[in-house]
Amino acid sequence: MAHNRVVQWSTMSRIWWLYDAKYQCPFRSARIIAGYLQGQHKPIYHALSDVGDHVVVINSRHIAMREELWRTFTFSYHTGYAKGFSRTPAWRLHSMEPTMMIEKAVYSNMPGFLLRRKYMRRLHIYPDEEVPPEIIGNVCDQIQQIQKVPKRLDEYTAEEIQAFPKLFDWSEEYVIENISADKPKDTVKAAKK
Amino acid sequence: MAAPLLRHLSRTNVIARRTVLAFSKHNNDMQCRYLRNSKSLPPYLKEQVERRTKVGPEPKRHPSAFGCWNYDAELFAFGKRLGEDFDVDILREAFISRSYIEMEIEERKKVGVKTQIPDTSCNEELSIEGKQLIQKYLKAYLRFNFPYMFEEGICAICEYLMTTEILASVGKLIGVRDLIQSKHYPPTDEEMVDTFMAVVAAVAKSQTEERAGAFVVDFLVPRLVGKDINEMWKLDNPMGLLSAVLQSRGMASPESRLLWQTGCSSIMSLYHVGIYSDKELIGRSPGETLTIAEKQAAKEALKNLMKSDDSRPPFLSSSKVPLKSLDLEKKNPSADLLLKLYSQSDTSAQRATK
Repeated sequence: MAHNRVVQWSTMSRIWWLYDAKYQCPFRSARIIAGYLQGQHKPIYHALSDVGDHVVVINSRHIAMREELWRTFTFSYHTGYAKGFSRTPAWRLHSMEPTMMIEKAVYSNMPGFLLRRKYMRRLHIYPDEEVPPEIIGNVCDQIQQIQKVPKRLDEYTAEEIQAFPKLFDWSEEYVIENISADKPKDTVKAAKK
Repeated sequence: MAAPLLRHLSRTNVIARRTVLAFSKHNNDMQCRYLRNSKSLPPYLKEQVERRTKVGPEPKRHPSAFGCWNYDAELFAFGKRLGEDFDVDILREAFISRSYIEMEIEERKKVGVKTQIPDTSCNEELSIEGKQLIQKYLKAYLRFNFPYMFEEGICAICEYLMTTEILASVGKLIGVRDLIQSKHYPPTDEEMVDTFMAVVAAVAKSQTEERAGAFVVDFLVPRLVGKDINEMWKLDNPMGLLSAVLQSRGMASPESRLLWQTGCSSIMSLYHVGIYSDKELIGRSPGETLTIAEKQAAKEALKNLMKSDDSRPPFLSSSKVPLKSLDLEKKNPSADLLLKLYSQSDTSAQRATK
């Protein structure tokens, strides 16, 4: 039981990473996740040797896309038969299958050779925070998110909103529907409606 | 090519073929339409190979069998190659093996000569002397390099260097093989080992013991290159020894902690275990299971305490070690003794608490 043997084992073993996709761009996240799946962060990396890690992606339902991309970004598919072409906007695909966007993005970010399917089998995507215990028990570390998760207005307390610096005060006659000092939460809900 | 017979010589085209074959390397522009790819050449070569495989390889012969051999000159050259000044008589004795003496006696009996050969003329005594010298200086050198290593570890490294394979190969590489006077050629491994040890004793007798020590260190210690010296000592219970060592040094008993783990439910599970004493990390190691990782971490902690860890400085060369002023009898602390002491104190402490 030489020490070298366990060091070797440690070098070649696969690490399990966790990635929280909440409010993250799926395309830019996919570049990073694909790197971890291929083992590009390891000193022993080689394009032809399978030294990649596992990645568990959670909250894939809550990914974020900039501008009008939910509407304008489309996924196209052809069945191979005549008139078999179809084009689905991102919002529709995401509403049908909330893990598909990340999977497709990661798949297209990896080099197209035989190891790609193997790498993809080490990607575990879950739409919410519920992950089976046999999967989450393997995880040991977390991949840093690429975007800062924004804080929504209803997550601020009334004091924080009050303390926010203002350039000017509204005149008393000015009617503001949404913001009220008495019931900030109710007003925000009203704004949503 | 086979030697041409007289009837071949009378045929002009065969003569031409011979000359073409002989000079074809240089005269490529020579006009020879059929002769360069002789049809008789491949069968001839095939026949040669067949005969060779049938007869088998040539037996290994001593260089003296080839004619040009001066034993005295070779002996002298042996010493000069190694940069040592040998006493010729001692060196000559160091190369005479027991089997050679027996063979000589038998031959003399056959011829009818009654002169006796003294038994002391073979290298047995010298080799025993040399063995002691090797052990003494190797251990002293290792103790100087690893002052904190346990005596058992030092002995294990020394034992590894004293194995038959290593001594025989070192002897072979310094050119002992052809000089041994033995019944067999090539001589057996045991004869090589005995002769190498006798040569060490011859260095000590011709010059000084320290010189022999430096000789031993220079030729044997490089055999440790690429070897894990910590694995030579087979340690059954590293954790027990570690707690004994820590107690003897007045430190807190070891605590093993799981640093991180991954893939626990997969077949490639990995655990990193660290061992702490007084809230200080003294050793850490990975492993497939917790027990393996803990055992290896204890070994790592021992390595760190013995200062024989992987990041240790390289061995000092023999010229930088003061072999003259070394205390050859002084030994490093013994692990067995420490374990006994610790277990005794443990039981006495238990009695006191009762």
